[in-house]
Amino acid sequence: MKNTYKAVILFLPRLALVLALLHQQGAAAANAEGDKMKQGHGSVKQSLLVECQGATALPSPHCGRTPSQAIDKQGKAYAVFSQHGHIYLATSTDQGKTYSAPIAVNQRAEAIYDDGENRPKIVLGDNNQVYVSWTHKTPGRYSGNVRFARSTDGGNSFSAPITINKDKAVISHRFDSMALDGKGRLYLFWIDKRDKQAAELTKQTYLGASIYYAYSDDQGASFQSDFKWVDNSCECCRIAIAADDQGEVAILWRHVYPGSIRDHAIAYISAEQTSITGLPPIAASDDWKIEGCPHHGPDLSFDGNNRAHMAWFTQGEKHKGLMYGQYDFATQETVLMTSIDSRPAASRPQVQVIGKQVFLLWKRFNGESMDLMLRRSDDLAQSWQAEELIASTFHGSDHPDFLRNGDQLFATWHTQADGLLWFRVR
Amino acid sequence: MAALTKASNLAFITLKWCLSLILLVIVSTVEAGVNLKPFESTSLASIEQTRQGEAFVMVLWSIECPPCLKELKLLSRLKDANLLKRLVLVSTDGEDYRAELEALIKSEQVADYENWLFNDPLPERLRYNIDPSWYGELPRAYFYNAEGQRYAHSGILTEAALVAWLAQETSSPK
Repeated sequence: MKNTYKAVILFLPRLALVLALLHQQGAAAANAEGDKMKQGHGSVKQSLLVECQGATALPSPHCGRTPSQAIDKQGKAYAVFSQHGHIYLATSTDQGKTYSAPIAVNQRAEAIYDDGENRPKIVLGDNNQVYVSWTHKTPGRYSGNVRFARSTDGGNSFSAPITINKDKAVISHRFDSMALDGKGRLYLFWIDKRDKQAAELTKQTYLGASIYYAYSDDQGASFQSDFKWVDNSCECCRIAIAADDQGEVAILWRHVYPGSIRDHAIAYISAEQTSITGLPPIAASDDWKIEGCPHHGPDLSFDGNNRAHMAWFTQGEKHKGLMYGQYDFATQETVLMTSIDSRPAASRPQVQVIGKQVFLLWKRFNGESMDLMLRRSDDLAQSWQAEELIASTFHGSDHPDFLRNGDQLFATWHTQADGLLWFRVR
Repeated sequence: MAALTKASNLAFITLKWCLSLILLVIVSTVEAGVNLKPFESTSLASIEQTRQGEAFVMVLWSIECPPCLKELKLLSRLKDANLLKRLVLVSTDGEDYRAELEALIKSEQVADYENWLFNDPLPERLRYNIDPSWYGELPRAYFYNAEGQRYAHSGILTEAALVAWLAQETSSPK
């Protein structure tokens, strides 16, 4: 079976290359665009599930790629995922045991970035709104546009997708991240290379890329766009975004500090602070100097006291591996920093706070299988329980994620062998 | 009548030849030039064995890593007989990227280096095989000396470091 799908994968790119040569550039058939999109990094390749084999396999969160989920107040789960050039939405009312037949968010197929760091995002509003964003792959390496569509009827139908970035240069506008603030303003942040490109045109060096954003005050009907958040972000790590207890939105991102130090930065966005000038506040000082590509973004979750709980990967002078820490905005200090797992085979840490409990989720290759690991603190990270093994797989797997349903918490994991799995952890 | 048939036959054969030739040219443009070997669990051992007694550098890179592409440009520029003999390129992207990689390897003019491509449903397994202490950051280089000892370097290679290493490995008596 393994050889069968490998042969198909081997053959298709060759065919695509022949076609591309014959067509030269720009003339590729639009209907084939979605299928030409390559399989990504750090995510599940061709599923091994029987139901996912063959040309007639229906789209599903198990067969598709890079699912993201959110749960509404009634406990219904909404999963968006990428398959055949579409973002699909499927819902589940039995905690992931079964999903509804998916509907396409974008009617017309397009090339979509669907690797672990670049995946569709979903945010739910209070009145049946379902907001979905993703990155459309435009021609050329690392190029893309941030796309958005919304539903106002609980995901039964979607508006035609729009491109959020006003700058339409064929460069990188990728790694979209989306969040709602307490007043219903919807933010979309992304990594943008327009400033890097402008600098290069005048032969100046520009460290990393920049972060831009857009926001909507009318539930996603329209956006104000292309505001610069910060210069010199890392160019290839997802941006973490979360609202605190008062609904204020903060973002956590890997920055490139002078000397090519790729440590994390954190800041609130607010009416007073609409952009960062000068060096952004350091979320955690690891002192990781590298001119390279970690491709490994952080995660962020707030507690009731508006402390920012952070999980991230570094290989700095001071810390190595997966780290946890809390950022106190009042004192601008990072406290209770601790190593989650310093083993090189550990990756993709997620963090979630509920009440006084802090949960950490990550994956680790043990030499034979990939393990899904969990750690818990019951006292806001003053002390930690021993790590727990949640699941293992011998095949490919996506980044793990947390999924919250009120006070319930699930770990979710998309694997090549078993599809999209849920594990109750609280 | 017979002469006409013969002539048209000849024309037909010539046409067939021309078409085959064109096809051959197209096929060879598509296929020639890049020997991208699948890198599997046993590949590191086989590379080490083939190059036993020689100093060499194994460079790991990915199409999704901008500094890696900058590094390819450097390797293309520094390419000489000496480096060609001593450099092994390994892409961590996986078979799904083969077509895109072949095109890139050609356009970046690094096709005459020894090229490999990760091939495992669990790429972490290959990473672990190469070096359990590697966190997966790219670009990553392993410098082997003639005794088979190696050291690792993370991040982009500088011209100075590479030139110095080459000078050292080719001048010192082994």
